[in-house]
Amino acid sequence: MRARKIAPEIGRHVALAILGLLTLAPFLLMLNISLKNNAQFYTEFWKLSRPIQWGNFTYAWNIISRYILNSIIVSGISVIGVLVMSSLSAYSFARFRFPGREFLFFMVIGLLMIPGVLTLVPLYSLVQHFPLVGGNNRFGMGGHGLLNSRWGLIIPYMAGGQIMLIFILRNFFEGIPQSLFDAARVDGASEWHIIRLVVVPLSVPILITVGLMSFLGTWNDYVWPLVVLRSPELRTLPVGLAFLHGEYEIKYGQIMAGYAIGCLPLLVLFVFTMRYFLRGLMFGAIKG
Amino acid sequence: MVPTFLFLGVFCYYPPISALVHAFFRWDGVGLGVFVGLGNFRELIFEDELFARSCLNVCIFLVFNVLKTITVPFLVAELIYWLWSKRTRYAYRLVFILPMVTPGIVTVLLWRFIYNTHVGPLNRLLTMVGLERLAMPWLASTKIALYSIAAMGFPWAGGIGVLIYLAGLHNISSDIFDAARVDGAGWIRRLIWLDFPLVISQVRVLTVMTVLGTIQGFETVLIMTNGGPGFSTLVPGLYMYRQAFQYGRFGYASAIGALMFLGILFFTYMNLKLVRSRE
Repeated sequence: MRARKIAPEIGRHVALAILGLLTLAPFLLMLNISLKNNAQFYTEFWKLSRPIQWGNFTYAWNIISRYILNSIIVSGISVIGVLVMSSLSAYSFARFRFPGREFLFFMVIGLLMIPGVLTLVPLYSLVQHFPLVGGNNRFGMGGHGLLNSRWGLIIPYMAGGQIMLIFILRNFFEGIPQSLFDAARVDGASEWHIIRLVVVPLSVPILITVGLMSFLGTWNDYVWPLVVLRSPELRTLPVGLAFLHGEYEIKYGQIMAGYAIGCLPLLVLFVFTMRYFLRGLMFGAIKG
Repeated sequence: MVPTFLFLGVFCYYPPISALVHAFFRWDGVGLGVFVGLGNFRELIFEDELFARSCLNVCIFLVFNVLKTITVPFLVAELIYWLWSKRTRYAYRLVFILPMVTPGIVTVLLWRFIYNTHVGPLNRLLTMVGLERLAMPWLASTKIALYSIAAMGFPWAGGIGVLIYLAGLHNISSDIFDAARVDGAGWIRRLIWLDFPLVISQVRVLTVMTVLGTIQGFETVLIMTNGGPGFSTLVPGLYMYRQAFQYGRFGYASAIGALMFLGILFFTYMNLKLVRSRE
């Protein structure tokens, strides 16, 4: 049993309350300002102002909703693509023997060593001069390639996102006890049946976790969409938020309302998938 | 498997190879460019003062960021770990995770606002409590902008570090804590000499994460000051970005990327060696 002295416990609570308040302070400020108009912003900065300017949120929503939708499309398609490709590959690596298996796996894992800074510039050039799309001829000249299109985001996300997932999922698939497969086979199940009835149900939690991990990566990405996209109406959420200043003559209430709305999608996702979300965060952090 | 390797081949193998090759070329992103040998590297290392400046800046960021991730989050994890009730532990954990659940960009944008010279809360607060002379152009002064960015996120308690340290503390057997109590170790001594060494593997993971993230990351600087005022907050990643996307010097940018890659490789190698020698 822990010895229980009341003084240290109170000390801990005070320290945590102060640290917690300071940590959340920027967000509390954001919420407070989001309900002010400019006059209230300049004269009563710290107070809760009356009347409350709910109109800021309507105004910001009309601008932000488009960016949220863009982000959902880009991240959603990327994550689904990544999950399908990487789980199929990881399953093959884990369950089937074929010549060069370990070598190929090593080739995939080796890519984890390559930092994003090294690839940013040539990836841009590749996307710009990708043959036969966006007005390019078969030598990749003459048009803008995949620049300024959602596919210019989605395809590199799918390609790069699968590396870590193949690594994690292969470990997971190999951890499924052989006896389960044997039992299923004795019962006359085909490989396809085994996948559907044994592997998929067992893998749902890990798939959600790694799915969230790659979702977070693409959702929060700023630099790549910034260089790939030109048209404002294609902007993803982070880029849209960063350019809010340019869209208004500066009305801080509306800008803060925009930031607040920008926080919502992740918060909602977090509330519904808390446990997986945290594990996804941990995986994602360790990956970087 | 076929789509995997097709994608990997085109979008994952080609770019880094292309980067390493084009580091030796004058290249505008089209075709092969003009071979210049080691010209890019020579210019970067011996002539380009901005690059040297950016390397110095990123070193300062490294020191700050590593200190930020290993100190406060560890303290917070300790405070939470020793709380009596499971429910309050859970609640506080949630508080410190919350910043992770908002888009990173919002945090950066909010801090840019906090540091704003005219309307920012920081200067307002200083004026309010009678410290006007401390109010300053946090992001607009060449002398302090770098440190303002480095200090961003005060009190540096929110984030993944708390979670990772908590997981580490939970793995420690309670016998060890009991033994420490019997020995009469005070809490500060226990913190420094017992708990911290016991979570040293978490410290290492976080340090590696932070170092790699800091070397590569330039989003924060891009948004806060875009490297300015002047070039006082320029970092190598941002310099690369600018060389490529503002001046169209893709070859030169590739050379910067290659040098950063070398830096990262060197750090990874040292880290591995250090871990080996400890074990």
